[in-house]
Amino acid sequence: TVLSGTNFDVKHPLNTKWTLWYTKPAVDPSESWSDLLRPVTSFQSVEEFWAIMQNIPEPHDLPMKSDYHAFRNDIRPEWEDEANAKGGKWSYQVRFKKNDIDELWLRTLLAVIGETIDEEDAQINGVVLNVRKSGYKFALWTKSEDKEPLVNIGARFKQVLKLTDADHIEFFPHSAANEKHHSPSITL
Amino acid sequence: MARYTIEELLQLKPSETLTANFPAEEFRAIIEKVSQVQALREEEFAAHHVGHFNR
Ligand SMILES: [Zn+2]
Ligand SMILES: [Zn+2]
Repeated sequence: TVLSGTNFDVKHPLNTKWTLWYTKPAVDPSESWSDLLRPVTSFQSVEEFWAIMQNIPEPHDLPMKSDYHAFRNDIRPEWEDEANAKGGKWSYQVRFKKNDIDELWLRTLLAVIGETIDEEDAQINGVVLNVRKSGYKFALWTKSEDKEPLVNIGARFKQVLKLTDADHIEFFPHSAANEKHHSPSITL
Repeated sequence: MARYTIEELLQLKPSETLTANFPAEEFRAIIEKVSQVQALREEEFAAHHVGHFNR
């Protein structure tokens, strides 16, 4: 089991490496997208993950227009990345209740890096938190837009976010990201 | 494949504060700076609009 090791030097490896990215809000017009979206650090063990979490601001302390992204290996958190191009994202926006955001973001990260949100280990590329005036937006980025596996993942995502049947998450394929009326292909 | 439940991962959370594998102080300073600039701009905006309505 996870806790059987008594030697604290023995690290608990994660299934893959993950990279944490941060989008810094622009404070002057000369800053380009490539200045703003930057990898912060990478981790491949549970211990490294916790060390990072202890040292970075929690979501409630982030300035407006910030994003955190955690993506597998070297996948960039952009839909143009080869790994994301044929996929999409499960999306949920939390409005007006700030208090449990930190916990919900932590739960989402844990479900993703612990690989319990996707039992096949086949779909999840990464996870994103947007801090906006309208609220906090959570998104789970996937490799494909195949309905069957995505519905299972979406159902678990709702549990991780502690949503009820009255709350809905929406799946948006990246292929439709440029369309004028960008509507979800799945709602759960 | 390495798999951990949310509960297992929470149990592995250390009680002492660890050192991160990157310059975390620098990272926090950048974010603090952005917060300050945003707060200042909001104040300026609010002050401008107070002046506006009093006229
Ligand atoms: Zn705080
Ligand atoms: Zn004005």
